[in-house]
Amino acid sequence: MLGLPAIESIDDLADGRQLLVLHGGGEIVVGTARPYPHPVAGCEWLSARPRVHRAPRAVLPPRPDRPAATARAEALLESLLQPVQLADWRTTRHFWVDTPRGPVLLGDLYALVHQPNSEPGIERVLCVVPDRHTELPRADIWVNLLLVLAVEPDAFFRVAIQRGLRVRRA
Amino acid sequence: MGVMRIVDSTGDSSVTWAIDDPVSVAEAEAVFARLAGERKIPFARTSGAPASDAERIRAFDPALEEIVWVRPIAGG
Repeated sequence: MLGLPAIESIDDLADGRQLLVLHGGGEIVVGTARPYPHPVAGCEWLSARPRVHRAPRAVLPPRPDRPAATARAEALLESLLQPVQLADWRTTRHFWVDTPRGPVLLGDLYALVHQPNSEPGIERVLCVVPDRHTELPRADIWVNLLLVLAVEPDAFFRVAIQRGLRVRRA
Repeated sequence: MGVMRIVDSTGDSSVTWAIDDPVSVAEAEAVFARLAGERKIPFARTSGAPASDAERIRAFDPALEEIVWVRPIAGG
């Protein structure tokens, strides 16, 4: 039978719950939270604010040049891929780029997965984008990042912003 | 025949030159200088070569087969 650690102190929290500080450093919050006034005068909790219902967006017809732009960008991207990358791209719309710091997965905008060689158990989620990227066809964004990663990886990692850290998937 | 491909909203725009045509070479050189001034980044490759075989270049060379221009990058 497991014994409960000794409780060192019990603190009342603002929402009615209690914080139990255990001997050895552990903490447990018990009880049921109930609404209480925001501690800053004039502010209210996010959950108390009325939901804003946005007007439905107009659905614009696709620009006539968009399919051609997409096709050109895709053709350029595919011409830059190695056979394994090309197979991945065609089946998953993602592909890995090897770098001296570990491979980087391109395919999810704003969430590029880096598996650092120096940290075998983890993945870093990075965000790097080309200048004025929203005006580019998506495949051109991958062309841009692919070339920088493949040829000047330090330039990529120098500007990368880490958005997340997680246990590496098998 | 050399070609510059500049990624843009149309997919890419192309500028071509022939090494034995000084006018086309001069025009391509002027485009190169303009794009470099816009902080765009040129990579050279032999036609059809993968990105891993590309090379960052700093000056225009009419003997190059293909130059792909991309944009500066930033953390988002």
